[in-house]
Amino acid sequence: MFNKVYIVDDDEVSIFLTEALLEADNFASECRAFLDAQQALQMLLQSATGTAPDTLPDVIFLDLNMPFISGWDFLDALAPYEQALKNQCRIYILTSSVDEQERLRANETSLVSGFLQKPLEDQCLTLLKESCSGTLY
Amino acid sequence: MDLISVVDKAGKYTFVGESAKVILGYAPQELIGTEAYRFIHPDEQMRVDLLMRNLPVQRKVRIPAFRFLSKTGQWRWLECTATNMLHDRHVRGILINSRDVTEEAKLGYDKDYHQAYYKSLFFEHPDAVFTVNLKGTFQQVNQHMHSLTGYNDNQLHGMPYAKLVAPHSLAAANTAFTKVLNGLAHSVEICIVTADGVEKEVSVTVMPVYFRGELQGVQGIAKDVTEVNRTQKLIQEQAQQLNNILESISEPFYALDDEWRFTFVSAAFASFKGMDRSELVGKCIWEECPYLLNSRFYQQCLDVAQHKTTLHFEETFTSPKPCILHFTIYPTPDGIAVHFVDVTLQKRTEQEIKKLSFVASKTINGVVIMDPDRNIEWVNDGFCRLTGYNRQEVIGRKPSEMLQGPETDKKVAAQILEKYRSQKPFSEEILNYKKSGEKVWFYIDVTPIFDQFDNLVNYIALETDITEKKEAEKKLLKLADDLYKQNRDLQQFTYIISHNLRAPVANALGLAQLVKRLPKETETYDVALQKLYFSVQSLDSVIKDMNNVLSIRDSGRTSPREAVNLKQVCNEVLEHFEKQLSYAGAKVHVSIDPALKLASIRAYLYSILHNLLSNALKYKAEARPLEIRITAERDKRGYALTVADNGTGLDMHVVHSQLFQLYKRFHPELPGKGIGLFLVKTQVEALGGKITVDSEPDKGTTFKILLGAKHVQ
Repeated sequence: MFNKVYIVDDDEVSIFLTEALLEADNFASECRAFLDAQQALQMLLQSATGTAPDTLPDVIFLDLNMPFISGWDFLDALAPYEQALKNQCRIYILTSSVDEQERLRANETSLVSGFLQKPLEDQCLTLLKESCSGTLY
Repeated sequence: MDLISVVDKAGKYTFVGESAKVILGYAPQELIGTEAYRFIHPDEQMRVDLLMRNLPVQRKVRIPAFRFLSKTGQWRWLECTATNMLHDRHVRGILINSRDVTEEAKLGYDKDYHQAYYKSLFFEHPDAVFTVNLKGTFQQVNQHMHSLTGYNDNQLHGMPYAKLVAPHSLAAANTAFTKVLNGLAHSVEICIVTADGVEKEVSVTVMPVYFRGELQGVQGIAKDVTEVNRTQKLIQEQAQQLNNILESISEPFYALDDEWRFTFVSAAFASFKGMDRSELVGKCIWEECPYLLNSRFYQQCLDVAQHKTTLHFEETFTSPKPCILHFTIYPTPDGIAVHFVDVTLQKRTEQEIKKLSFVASKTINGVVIMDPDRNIEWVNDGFCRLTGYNRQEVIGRKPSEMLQGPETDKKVAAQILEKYRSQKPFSEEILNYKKSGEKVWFYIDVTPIFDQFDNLVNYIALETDITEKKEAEKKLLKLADDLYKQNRDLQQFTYIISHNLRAPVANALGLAQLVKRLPKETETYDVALQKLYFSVQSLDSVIKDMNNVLSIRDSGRTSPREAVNLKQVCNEVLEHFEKQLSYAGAKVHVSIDPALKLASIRAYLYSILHNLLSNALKYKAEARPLEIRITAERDKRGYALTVADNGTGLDMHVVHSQLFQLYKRFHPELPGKGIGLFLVKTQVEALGGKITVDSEPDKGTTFKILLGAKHVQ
């Protein structure tokens, strides 16, 4: 079980659904959702630089298609802190997109640990937990 | 034999000697008692009488020969001596001793007669006649010597001939003098200098004069031949000149006499025949060229000789070598003259040109021949077919002025003109107009033609109708453009499908699974159901949006345009927002000509203005009252419609690439789907226009819509 999970998504329904699934799966002890990506980014940057008391989350589910600041913009903004984030925080893209181009782009982005498609499924969560256990626990 | 007679004082014979019978035929008694004067010739009675009257003073008088009538009636010449013996008592009369000198008188007459002849020959000769002594000085000259030499008789007398002869002629004169002194009469031409210093050419005939076997001197006859020589020289020169002219005629030329013999043959003809001129002159043409007897040439020669009229004609020969000759035969006073030109090559070229122009006239391409000023000299049937003009109406006109029209590309037209001026071959594609006004695309291929002196003489243009190709090209371009747009649309469509359409689907799927698992009577179950319903609704909304957008795109290009009064549409939109505008305290400045009508689609213009005004209202700045300016003005191609506000504005660096994209939003604090500007852009493009935006944060936003040329009515 993870300590802390962030969900960054502008879609309320999607957040509701993800939260419901994570809860049912006992995925994390703390789950925090951000409708505004900008807000999530601020939190993360503060944690990474140690200017805020909050610790970094273990897992981030990041949506791509968001207004004002897209998932890619979000990743670009985090890129300078990659070293600080890398071993503490896994970023998974969670998108409704079925665009193969975006999957490829995600593969090439080192900050991204995986490309997940909405709706999140139980097996997927189990796999996530298994793959993480090797490094985190 | 003398005759002695005595006459008395009265002149009557008193004595007559017996010899009277022999000399005069009279018996003495026949004469005695008769008056002596009766027998003297009337012409000489006076002379004799006058001499006789001297007798009383002189004792003796000699009476030169006079004529005395003889018994036979003939005149005898007598010469007498009369002696006064009147006082002699034996005689008592005048004693007359007569002698018959008839024979001598006759001789003397002949001599005088001859001398007169010679004198006449000398003095009356129409030419100048002179004598020169053995030393070479003039002795006697006749009157014409004066006019010939300018010296008078006295001046010439004793003058050496050398003084008269021009120095350059002296040698010839001396030779002639020596020759004549050797007894050889001859003629020589020398040059003399007159008293006035004028040189004259003189032909002199000199002959030796002998008297009693002794050479006495030289007699000469001189004739002024200056004029004759000059004339002769002139004639010679003219003859030479004429000959030169005849020779300079590069075409063959010859003259025939009335016996058909060559009297003159030009060098060109000799070389044409491959013979020497001397071989031809004097020969009969029909014997020399027997093959001509069957020719038209032969008939024409006879005709010219007979009718004395000039003839021109052409004849084709197969032998001795195949050729086509153009003859001119004209009559001369003693025959005919023939001049001909070998037109074989010219004819061949003409035939070739005929063939070529036949090809040119049959080819489907247009062929235009222009003069150096690009005025049409000739066009083929193809050109007439392609343009609809007939040949007469295009000759003298310039193709560019005649064929180009309003939609012809001015740049290309200018380029073509430039290329004509460069006098180099070129090709170009240009839109032309037929006589009927129908558009036709021509591929023109122009070749300038130069003469041997490199002067431009013609342009030849080949014109090919490439309308179909051009239309295909245009279609292809449009197709490419459509494809590009469709591709771009497809990309956007993929994005919409993968995100906006997929998002509610993913949610619905997830929720459906969740609902399956959740116990029915929990709060979460209800919420999940509610959200499922919401997700399906948003799916529906996206599908509707997409349908809307796609229909605009498809119909925008095909819908018929109508006359739209822009000001009226604008007023309707403003009416729609009336309440909101007044609530916001907004000021709207509209600057649109009320009469302005656009060829457009009314619904789109309404929707565009509606969306832009809605945005202006939505994103107005809190700090200041909203001001909106709507203007429409004519621009280069069509009209420019501008909607400017003083709202919150946007940072162009951030938004420029995404502003008009579907479902893109830039104001997190304000509700919106992100479809408004996308629709505006779609509609503007469907109308064939363009939209641009300029914005600055906290200053305002200006949308400029360029409604293209199609909007101009």
